[in-house]
Amino acid sequence: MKVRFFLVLILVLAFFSRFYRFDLSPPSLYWDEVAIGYNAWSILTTGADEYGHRLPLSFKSFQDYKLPGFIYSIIPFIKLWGLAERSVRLPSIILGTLSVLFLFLLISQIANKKVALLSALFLAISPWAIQFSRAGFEVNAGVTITLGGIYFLLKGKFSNKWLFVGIILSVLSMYFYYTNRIFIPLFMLCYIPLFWQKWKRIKKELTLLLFLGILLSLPLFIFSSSYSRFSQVSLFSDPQIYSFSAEERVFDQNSLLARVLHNKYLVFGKELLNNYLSYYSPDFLFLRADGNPRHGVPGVGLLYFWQLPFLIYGIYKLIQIRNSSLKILLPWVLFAPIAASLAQPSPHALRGLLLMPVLSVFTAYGLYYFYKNINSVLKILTNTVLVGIVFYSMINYYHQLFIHYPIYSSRDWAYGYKQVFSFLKGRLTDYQNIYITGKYWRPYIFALFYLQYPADKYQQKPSHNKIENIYFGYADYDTSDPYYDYGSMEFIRDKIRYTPGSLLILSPSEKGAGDYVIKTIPDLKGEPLFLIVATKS
Amino acid sequence: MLPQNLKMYNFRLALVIVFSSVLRFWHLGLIPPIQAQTYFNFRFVSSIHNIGCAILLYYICKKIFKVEKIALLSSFIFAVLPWTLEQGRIYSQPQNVLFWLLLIFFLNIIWKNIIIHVVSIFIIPFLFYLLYPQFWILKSGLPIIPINSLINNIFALFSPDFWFFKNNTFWWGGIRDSGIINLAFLPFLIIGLFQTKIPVKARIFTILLLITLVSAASPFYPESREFFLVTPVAAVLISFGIYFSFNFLTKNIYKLVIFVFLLLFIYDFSCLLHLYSVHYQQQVAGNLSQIHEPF
Repeated sequence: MKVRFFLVLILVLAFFSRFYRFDLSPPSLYWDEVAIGYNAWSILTTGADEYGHRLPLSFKSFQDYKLPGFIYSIIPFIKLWGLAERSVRLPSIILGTLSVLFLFLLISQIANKKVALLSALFLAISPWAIQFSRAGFEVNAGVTITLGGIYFLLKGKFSNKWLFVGIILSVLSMYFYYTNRIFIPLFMLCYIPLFWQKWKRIKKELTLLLFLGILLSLPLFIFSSSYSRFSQVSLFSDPQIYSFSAEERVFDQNSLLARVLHNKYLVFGKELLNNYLSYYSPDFLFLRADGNPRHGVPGVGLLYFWQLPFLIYGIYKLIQIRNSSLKILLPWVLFAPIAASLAQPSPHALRGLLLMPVLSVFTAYGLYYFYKNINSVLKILTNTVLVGIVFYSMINYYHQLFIHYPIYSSRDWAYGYKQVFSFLKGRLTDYQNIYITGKYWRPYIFALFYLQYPADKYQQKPSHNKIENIYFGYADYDTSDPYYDYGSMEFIRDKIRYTPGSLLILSPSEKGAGDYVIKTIPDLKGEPLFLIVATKS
Repeated sequence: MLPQNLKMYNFRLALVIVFSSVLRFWHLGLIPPIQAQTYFNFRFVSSIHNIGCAILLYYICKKIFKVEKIALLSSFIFAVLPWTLEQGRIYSQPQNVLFWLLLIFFLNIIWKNIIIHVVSIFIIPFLFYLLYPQFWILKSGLPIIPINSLINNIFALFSPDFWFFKNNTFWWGGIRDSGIINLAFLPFLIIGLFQTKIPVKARIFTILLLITLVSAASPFYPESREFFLVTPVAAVLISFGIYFSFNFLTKNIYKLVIFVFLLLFIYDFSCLLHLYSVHYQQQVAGNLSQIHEPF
């Protein structure tokens, strides 16, 4: 009863931390969320993605081939609320809250209820978890399904029915995020021998279930174009890594010794290990995260600073007493960053998210053993100090998250597009041509989303240059979009500039000397972001 | 007459010393390129101190752990760590002071005498004053460093990048692709950390904490080298890990893993020697303007 009460409290806290002002912090939907939302809407209304591919297993989107799990799972919300911000973010918030419940249930299988509750609590208030639960990140959904999968797999020790659910969920999680496709098979390889004694009796059923799991995951490897995505972010496609060694090999006249000592594969192998170990770097976990403003709140690490001693103590103690839960936790903590380390840049808070729940568990263990080993007087003293520190850290984090973070990060969250299209809505026909700057990346998807442009119409001629009378610019650093005709765009922009009755939505750096600005859309710091320029009619 | 096994260990220690000497003295005046001939003597003294550290470490470990193999391994590992190798081939003030600190520590172990302890405490500041004038406390007093910078520096000192992969201080003899220790030693370092007995662990952590705090509090960070003083601690932990692995992980699969790691070490060490003897000179030659003082 007491456990249930605390669990409900923790779940309420988890939901509040994820739900409260989700529309304001992060301050707006960024391009991936918008693309996810529009593709889900497209599937709902036409049965195909934005490019007209019917029920795809990987969504081309920005040629990043998004996995289908999260996109399909938000369709009911799109049906309910239409193409709106809450339809994209609320599923993530719900799944983020569910992850806390799943972690509690999972840890209850391998540890006592106190450790399970503490683990759930630390996940509920974890800055790392909250950050990715408040926005429509596929990875957050992937982690939740993984937790559910592991929980049912553990429950499956006692019943084939749960084992079946566990395998289905584990396979399903692979449809949500890329890293799961390496993590889940590796985890299963460790997991099955662990309970082999119990499962020997149901060898046939287990083989069938595993076969089913492999069968269900096959489409992902056969039909999905995810290898293209891998080649975009892969460590092995980064020429920078081998450049020094290549020069040195030339200097050594490419001798046999040089080929051995400056071996390409070994250089990449070392870089892979560097990437892998970087996920355990205290700098990454407690201070700076990965530096991407969308992945963390400045001044607060992915984990709270006070977690550090308990995290170390928890790991130390578990290994010291050879706790049986290590059989699950150790493979988890060791395998979680493997897939992420294959990609650049590393460490990456988003790709390493699978690591987050297990670190909460270690912290919980650390705190649990710490309390177990101190006397009652010290307990009271520690309680007071610790509650104070934890409470202060939480308040500080929430203060940063709700008050300062939206202001600092508004540009990184593609703030301003919503305001631009609210302005344009109802005025589209007032202007002969409209040009929107591409400086803030791929404006076409924001136009589709905020103008709720009919998917069937767009699918007929998908273009990132133009929708109806709206022309889109491009970002100087990005010239790799196959759906964009880079050659004609500057000519078109200048043509629109001198065409009477046209509208240009420009970044401040694109403003011309004679441009007449009718409205400025600032970012949340108050600095001009978009300038709306009208030509004389 | 020396007992047979003692003779054997003396012979092995001699081998370590010879190996360490070859690594330190071979082309000492050429690699790294020397900028002022007067610095050769200083460099030579540092090399002697460095070899002396390996010998002292052997006797300290032998005295504390009473296991010859651990002592011998510690000495060998100290000799082959990338950072000790680099600092043993240049004029290095932290290297020189480390030798004397180890000597004082050793004397304190063999003579458990309160007078020795007290004298040692008074001698240490003088040692720093005489041998390590670049030590930041002597150079700029005790500044107040912001707590976030301190934490920042501590975390940077414990980053895998710093320990295993990168050393950008070519102006202090650092080789680009090597850290403090070889990556192949990582599992043994972890095993060593877990397997040392609690009192030893407590002492090791105290030493580590003290050195870390002193290094991280430097206003010249990352232009500070006090963290070099942790190298003997790292060497001891690694040797503990190797010793434990060989003696207690007796299953074939573990043996295979240990063997693979040792092979990796050999490869890693070969790369280090090659980079140092061939490419490091290039790097230094191309960046002479960034070297503030000869080393």
